[in-house]
Amino acid sequence: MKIGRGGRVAAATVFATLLLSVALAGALKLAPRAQPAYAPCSRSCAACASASPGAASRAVNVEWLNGSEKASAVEKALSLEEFGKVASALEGLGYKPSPEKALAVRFEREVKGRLAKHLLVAVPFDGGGREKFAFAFVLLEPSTEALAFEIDLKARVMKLVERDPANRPSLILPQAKGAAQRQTAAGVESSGCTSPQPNCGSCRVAFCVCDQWDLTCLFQALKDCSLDCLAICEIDPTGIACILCITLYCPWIVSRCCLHSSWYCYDCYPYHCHEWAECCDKCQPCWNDPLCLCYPNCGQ
Amino acid sequence: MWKEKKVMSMGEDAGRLRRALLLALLLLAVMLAINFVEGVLYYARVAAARGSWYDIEAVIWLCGALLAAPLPLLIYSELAPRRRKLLLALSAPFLVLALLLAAIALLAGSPSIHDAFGLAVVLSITAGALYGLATQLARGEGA
Repeated sequence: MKIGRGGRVAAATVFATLLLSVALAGALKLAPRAQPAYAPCSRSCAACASASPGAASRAVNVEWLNGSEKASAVEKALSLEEFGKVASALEGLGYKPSPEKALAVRFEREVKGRLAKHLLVAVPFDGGGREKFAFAFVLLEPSTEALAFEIDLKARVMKLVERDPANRPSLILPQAKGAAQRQTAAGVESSGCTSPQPNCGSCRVAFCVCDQWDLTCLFQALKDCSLDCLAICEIDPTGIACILCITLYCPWIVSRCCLHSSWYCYDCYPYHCHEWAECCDKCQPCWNDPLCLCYPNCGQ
Repeated sequence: MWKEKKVMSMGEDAGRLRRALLLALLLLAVMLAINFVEGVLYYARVAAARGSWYDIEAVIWLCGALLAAPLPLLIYSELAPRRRKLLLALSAPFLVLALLLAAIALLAGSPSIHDAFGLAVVLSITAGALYGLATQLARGEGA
């Protein structure tokens, strides 16, 4: 299947942006992250609500390789055993490598408290049609590692297809250490906030909420869940399996389509305290704070 | 004469309605069969890519397809009550396979807590459905 010109441009843009963002994301980790996600509520709920996460950035050295230097890096990457493993995973999905379109970048980032030079090669894969394409990231320095990704432009999903070695934390994506183990073929990682719980102050309470969904997966999950539960409810005369299917199986299947979850600070009052008992406990200090617009009406 | 015509017209209407209903059910059964084949192919693709036939992701979607597989049989059993016992018995292998796959994935697939919970739920509902199936067969419904 041929990729159209528009598709090629979009794919190349996404590809180059991704490569650069991986390099920059790693390098930006040098910036201090002492600030909590949300500033504590010091004076009033309004102050707490208006507080935003602090972010600092600094310039990084990113060097794109060209000519013989790039050719040598690409050749080395293609000969790596790690690349062979992730490439075979992508070939199993119908993709073919296009090493002539490969990119190479050199950058610095902190590894275990020390600055280390990184050499990263990205090899695009063709064969996914207009809406899908794949690529492999191969890290040559300071250690070797390869990751294969598939991108669905229509669903706006990038999924980790394979990584090698799989049994040690990735140097390219340190945050994905846990997620890589939970990765799914649908590109969906299990919902759940990986970042530490923010300090929402005494006036508000933190909840982990899914804020990004894979719509294709969601549609599939809802279809599967309704068909499965229809069959189960038809078979099971006692209704226990039917109830379990609707109340537990469906929410679980749907929750697998969550792409990203974040912590959100919600007001204790007016409605959260009525809905979740745990909120009552978390909001307890709030009741004693005269500056908070919260009321001790939990459980009423 | 007029009365005879009216009776014939009502009979034709009922016949048309029955045919439409059968066609709708047939379409539903075809869609469900396609859904099942899609699930199996997806399982094969993911299992081959991951190199493990009990890979959690692959098993979860295959279990979904397997649990929905008896639906066409159950629909048909409503239309042909005399064959209900046979059709119920034909549904059992799909549920047994789903049960076994979920159990193997739970034990050998090293699932996350989230997935382990889900697989445990799949195990419970499949076991419940199999129990229901066995009860109905033991009672000799539609024999």
